Amino acid sequence: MSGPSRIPGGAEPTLRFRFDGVEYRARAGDTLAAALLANGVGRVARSFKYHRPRGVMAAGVEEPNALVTVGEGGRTEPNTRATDLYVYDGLIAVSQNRWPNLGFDLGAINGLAAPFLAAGFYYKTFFGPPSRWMLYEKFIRRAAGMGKAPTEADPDAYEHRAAFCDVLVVGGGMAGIAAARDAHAAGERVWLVEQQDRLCGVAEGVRVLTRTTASGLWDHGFATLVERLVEPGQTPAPGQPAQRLWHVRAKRIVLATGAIERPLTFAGNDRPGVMLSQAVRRYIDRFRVLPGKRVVIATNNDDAYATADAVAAAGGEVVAILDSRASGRATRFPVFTDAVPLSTKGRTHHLASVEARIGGTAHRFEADLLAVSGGFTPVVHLHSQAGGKLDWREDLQAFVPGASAQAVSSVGAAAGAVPAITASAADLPDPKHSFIDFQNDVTVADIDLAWAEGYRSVEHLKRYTTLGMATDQGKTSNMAALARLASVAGVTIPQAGLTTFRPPFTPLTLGTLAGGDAGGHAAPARRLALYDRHQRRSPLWQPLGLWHRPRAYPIGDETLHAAALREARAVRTAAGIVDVSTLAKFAVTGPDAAAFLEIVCATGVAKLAVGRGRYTFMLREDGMVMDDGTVWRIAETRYLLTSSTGGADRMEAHLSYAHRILAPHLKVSVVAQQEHFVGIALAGPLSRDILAALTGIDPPAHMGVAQAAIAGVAVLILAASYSGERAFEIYAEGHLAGPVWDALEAATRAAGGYPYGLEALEFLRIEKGHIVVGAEADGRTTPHDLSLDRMLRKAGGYIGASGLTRPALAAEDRAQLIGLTSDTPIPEGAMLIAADGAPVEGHVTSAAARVTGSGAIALGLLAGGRARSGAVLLASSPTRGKSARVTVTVPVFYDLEGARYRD
Amino acid sequence: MIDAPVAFTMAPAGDVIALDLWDAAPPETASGTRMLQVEPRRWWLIGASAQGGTLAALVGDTGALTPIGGGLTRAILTGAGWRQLLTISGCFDVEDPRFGVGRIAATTLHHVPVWIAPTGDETCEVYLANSYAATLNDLWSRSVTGQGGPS
Repeated sequence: MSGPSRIPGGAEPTLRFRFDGVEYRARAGDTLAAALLANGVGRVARSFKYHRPRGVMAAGVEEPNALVTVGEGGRTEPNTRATDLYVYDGLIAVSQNRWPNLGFDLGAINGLAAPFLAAGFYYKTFFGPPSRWMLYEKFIRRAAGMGKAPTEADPDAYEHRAAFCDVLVVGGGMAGIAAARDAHAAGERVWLVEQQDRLCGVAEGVRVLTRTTASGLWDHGFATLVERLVEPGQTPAPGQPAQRLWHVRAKRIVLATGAIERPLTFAGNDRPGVMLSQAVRRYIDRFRVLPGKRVVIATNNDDAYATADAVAAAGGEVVAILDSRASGRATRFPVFTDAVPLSTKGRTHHLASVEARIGGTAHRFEADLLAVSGGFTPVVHLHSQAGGKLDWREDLQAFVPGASAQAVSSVGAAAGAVPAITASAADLPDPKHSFIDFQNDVTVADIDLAWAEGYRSVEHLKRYTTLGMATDQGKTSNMAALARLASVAGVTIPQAGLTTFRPPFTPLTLGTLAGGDAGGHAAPARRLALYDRHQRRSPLWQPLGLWHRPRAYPIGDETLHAAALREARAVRTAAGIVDVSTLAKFAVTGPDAAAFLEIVCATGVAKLAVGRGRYTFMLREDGMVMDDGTVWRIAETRYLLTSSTGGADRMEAHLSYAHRILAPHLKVSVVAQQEHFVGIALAGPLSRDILAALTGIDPPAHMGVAQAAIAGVAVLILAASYSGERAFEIYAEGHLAGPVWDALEAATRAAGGYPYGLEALEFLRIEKGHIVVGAEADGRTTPHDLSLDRMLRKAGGYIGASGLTRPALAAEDRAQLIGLTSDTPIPEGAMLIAADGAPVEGHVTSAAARVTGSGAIALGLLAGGRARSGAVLLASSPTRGKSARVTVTVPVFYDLEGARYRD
Repeated sequence: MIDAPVAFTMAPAGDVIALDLWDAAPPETASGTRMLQVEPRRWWLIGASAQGGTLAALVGDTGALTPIGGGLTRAILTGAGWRQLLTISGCFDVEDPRFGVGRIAATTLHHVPVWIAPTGDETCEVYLANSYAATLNDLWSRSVTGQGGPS
């Protein structure tokens, strides 16, 4: 009987698995490839382009052919290498790239069309006007890709972890273990990672991770490792993640990543039954599987002779050793020198025969397996990712690690300790069926064609032919391709060049990259201290950066707009409270506090009396408005500076820069108190009475400060108005603020008011014409643009003062803050134009309905806008299909004199 | 999920005061007050409020005191696995044996700014802003108990 099979003896196969719907048995420790071969299954896939039958070529992660889809539902993982998948009980795998099945695949018709599907087929075929691309896209999308991604959500958890060590050894072969032992003996903290399920030996005292792939090597000794805690498609133990991404920082990295055997190039070198020589040995030695009974071995080096011994010891027959060199090694097997394979003939799961050229004569060998060895390519991927140079070794016909850019060294086969080869320059009589890149069906003829069509750079060659792309990234094909390119170009391989090694070394799942950041927001959420109290009112929550804040508190089936309008009108007529805890707050303390604030704030601060506050804004060095807020003099040498929520982190960094870099000599302390205080704004014509009743004090006048207690909790009261009504910001310590909110809410409701959310807050501030950072202060606007220039401190000395001296920043044709009114809703973000097709003159920055009265209002930035009051423009948003006829006004729509917020 | 035992609690940090000193050495504080140096010229005084005016007098015009505890949550981790737990979504070498009692690390866990202060071989405090407490609670709960997964 021909074909692959299990070597008699050994443990019973106890694990059940299914491949393409058929149940098989495997031994514990079998890879799927080994188990399939043990069950006589040699054809496991179809090729990507021509749908040619493919078998198992390798025994490791370099496998280009034997890709399967494993698992079910959300755990489905496509494009899994059968050689890198350990069988577990219940494993379900299916072959890919075939329809309806592996044996009868309609896509194989592509093979007949091969003459028309050569390199550059897509570029030569799918061109023309964009409308035609809409048609092409359907076909290209259907043909593109290999396995299909699952549509169900992944049910598993993933984890990210940090680790640090003195030495990270990548590769658990003999060289890696020796390096790990040496480092441990030297007293170093050592990590050893191995992508297979076991090491080649023991490394005492070393932190060992198996089934872990060093996926990327970055700067400064930073490595990313992917640890598989379960096999693809397998259900993790309760509570365990499926995979873990390690972020490892190592002082020194040793690469013992081995070498990859190269196939030989001849017609039909892609059939099931053509296998790498060392892979044949590995299936015999490790898995007790004999991939074929009658074996031909083709080689250009001594290593493959060991395969002949292994085959014979396992009960196979070595039919011939084809050695391309002038002389072979002495052996008990029939050796033919100056001999190369020319072509193969195949059956379903194995070969039928091998045709060879021996000297000048053709010979045919009846054989079911052809083991090939075209030499060895050291795995230099990580060395190269880390910025290391590569050197060319003529005796290996391969690149080896050269100078390292970091503390990275290579040992063993990865450093070039592999058998030398004698390169053969044999003619290839059938280049169209001689495959270089098995995964992408790139033949010798494709490379020759690309060269003939002018593709000289290896990078262009790669992109034109798809050589070295997809899941294997050319691990078995790159050197053969370079050799062919160099040959047709008449240059050496180093002169032909090399494509770039980029992470990841092997494919990794998106879940691994995401780690714990799954779900809607994929980021940590910041929760208000008063979250529970808001939640009781079932608000609509709005993400704002990482924060989640109430947008409105609908009653019954109220819409967002209706709820916000009700809340805003309550503020205009009675009172409302809003949670403003997220505002940035900084305690600025010390004898030089005022001097420091006058560096940061563009407005005057030093003359502020104790117990008073004022509006302020801060500029960038270039004079643009960076943020705004208020500054309060709490005591002689103590100030409280507030600024916007969104800019809180930026402002903290800015203050640190101003303090540590610009003014380190100042005796001042700047401490962020954003969350130390919960902030509640009480606004409305009844707010003063509510506060007086709750505190028993006479509330401070507008921009005044007071200390009091509400519900027994000490509060700081700042009389500031954002809504345009008489208002107070009430600050209480974060952990104590709940009762304060409760008391304010009860009193406000009793007065006919409500809590209000961000939507109402927007309505109120737009109506009052207050700018907001991000909309009106968008990083491109100066104080002059926003009509804040009259507040600038004339003496200068603040950050941005020098930048503002540029005359162009005060030019009258700059985009300036304006108001807009309309009878119809104004689309936010709309461009401002004179008429359809006219040049864009500005845009709408914020829009709302009038809280009092009817119609729509908006703020905007318009070229020379201050001089254009009364102009009628079109606010047009073509992407949303909305527009409104608008009239330019001053940017205040309510209480222009500011009488309502003063007593 | 980690393989060594660890439990954690979270509660308001409460009495934490930031002490910035222009250039003086930190003052002697009363017993019961802990002092953590979190920046080159900044210390956190834990449990110092009881000293009231005494503390302010001690600092005098050599620096400034600012309460910050209202915005901080203190997590207390107990068990041999606390170092392992803090490697999850972290970026600091918390497993370095030199990182022990008296040290403090300002770093991030799962993008959350934290201050880690070992208080014993098997105990540690982690300070974080209140707003992130639910996020870290969720991360640690999943890691410690192994329950749940991405929602």
